Amino acid sequence: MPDEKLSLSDLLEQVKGAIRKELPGHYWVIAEIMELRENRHCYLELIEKSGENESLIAKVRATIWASRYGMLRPFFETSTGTSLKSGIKILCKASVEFHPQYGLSLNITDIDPSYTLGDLARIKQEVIQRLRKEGVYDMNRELPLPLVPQSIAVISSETAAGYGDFMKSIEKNRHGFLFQTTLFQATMQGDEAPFSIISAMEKIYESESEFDCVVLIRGGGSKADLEAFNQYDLAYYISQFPLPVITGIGHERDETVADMVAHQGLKTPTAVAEFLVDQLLAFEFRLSALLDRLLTSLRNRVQGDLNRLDRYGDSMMHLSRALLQQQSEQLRQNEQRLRRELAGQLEKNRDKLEQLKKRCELVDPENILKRGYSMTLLEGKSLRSIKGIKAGDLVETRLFQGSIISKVEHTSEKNDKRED
Amino acid sequence: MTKEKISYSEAVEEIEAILQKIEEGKLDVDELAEKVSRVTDLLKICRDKLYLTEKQIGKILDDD
Repeated sequence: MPDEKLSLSDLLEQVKGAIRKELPGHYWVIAEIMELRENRHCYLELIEKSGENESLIAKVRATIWASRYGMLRPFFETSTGTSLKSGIKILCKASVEFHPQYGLSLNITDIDPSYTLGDLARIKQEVIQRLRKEGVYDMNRELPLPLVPQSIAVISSETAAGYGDFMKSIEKNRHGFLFQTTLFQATMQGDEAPFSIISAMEKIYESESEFDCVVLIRGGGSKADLEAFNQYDLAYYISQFPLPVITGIGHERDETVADMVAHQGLKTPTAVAEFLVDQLLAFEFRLSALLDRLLTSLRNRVQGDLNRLDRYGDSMMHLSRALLQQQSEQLRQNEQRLRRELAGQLEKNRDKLEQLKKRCELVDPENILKRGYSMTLLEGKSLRSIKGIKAGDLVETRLFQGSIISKVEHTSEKNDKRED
Repeated sequence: MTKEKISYSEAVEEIEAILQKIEEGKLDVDELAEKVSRVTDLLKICRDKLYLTEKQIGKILDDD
C-alpha cells in the first residue's frame, strides 16, 4: 500500500508545476492543423504524422486567444494566400499550458507564415510532379481550342462577383459577337470546392458535344483559399477533361495547379471573357482576309483577261498590218506587171501600125499616080475592065495632078496585065 | 436560301479550296461566277452565326 495518497487535483497541480518548471517560456513548434473552430478565439487540434505511413504520432489541443487571433489570422492569410484550416502545416510560437480541469494545451502567440508558404509550395510541387509523372499534365492544353469558341459551359457560383463580371464582358462585347453560356453551379471556396467543381464538370461531360469549352470562374470572393485549386484531384480531372478548360480564378499571386493544367490559365474572369472575344475577333479577321483574297484574285483574274485581250488586239493589229502590207505589195507587183504587159502590147501594136502604114503608103493610089499610073473612073467608080463600057461613055482619067474627061471611042480586049 | 448547317472550320476549308482554284486560274468564267457566289454565301453563313441578331441585342439591353 502506498504511504502517501494524493487527490487528483493535487497530482495535476504538481504536473502543472512540473511543466511550468521544465518547459518554461515559448517554443517554435511545427504542427499540422487537424481541426479548427473559431468564435472570437480559435481552438485547434494540432497533430503530427509520421513521414513514412502518415500515421498519427502526436496530437494536442491549442488555442489562439482573440487578442492575438484578430492580428494573426489576416496576416497569415495575406502572406500565404490560404486560411488557417485543416490540413495546413504551421510553425507557431507556443507556450505549454496545463490546466487540471482541461488538460494539456498549447497557447499560440505567433505564427510564421513563411513556413506554411514553403510547405504549400512543396505540396504544390509534389502535385505537379505527380501529374507530370502520370502523363496528364499537358493533356488539356494539347486539346485544340475550337476555331470559334461560342458555346461556353461556365462553372461558377451565380452570386460570385467574378461571374457577374464575366457575363457582363461576354454579353456586351463591343463587337456584338454571339455567345451561348450555360452556368453549372459550384462552390468555389473552401474544402468542398474541388469536389463541387468536379461534379459540375461531370454534368458538363454528359452534354459535352454542346459546348466548345469550359470556363472556370471565381473572383470577388476571399483572396485566400486558393488551395482548392492546387488540389490533386481537381487538377487531375481538369487535365483529363475532353473539352478545353479556361480558368479565371482571380488570383494575384502564383498561378494554381488548376491554372497550370488548364488549356488557358488567365488571371481574372474578365480576362477570360476578353480571351474568348479575341478568339472570335481573330476569326472575323480571318473571314475579312478571305474576302480580301477573293477580291484580289478576282481583280487579278479580270486584269489578266483584259491584258490578254490587249495582247490579242496588239497582235491582231500587227497581223493585219502585215497582211495589208503584203497585199499592197502584191497589188503593186500586179500593177507593174500589168503596166509592163500593156506597154509591150502597145509597142507591138505600134509596130504593126507602122507596118500597116507603110503598106498603106505603098498602096495609096496617090503614090501610084505619082509614079505615073492613072486610074479611069466611070460615073465615080474605078474601072478594072471594059465590061459595061460602051462607046460614047464619058470617063474620067485621074492623073497625079489633074484629070482628063474623055469620050470612049471603042474598047479592046487586049490586056496589058501587071502583077501587084 | 435555306440556312445551311456547316461548321466554321468546314466553311473556312471550303472557302480556301475555292480561293486556291481561283488563284490558280483553273476556273472558266461560268464556274468562276458560281464559285464566287459560293464563297460569299459561306462568308455570310459564318458572319450570321458569329454575331448577335438585332433581336438578341435588344433582349440583352432590356435585361438591364
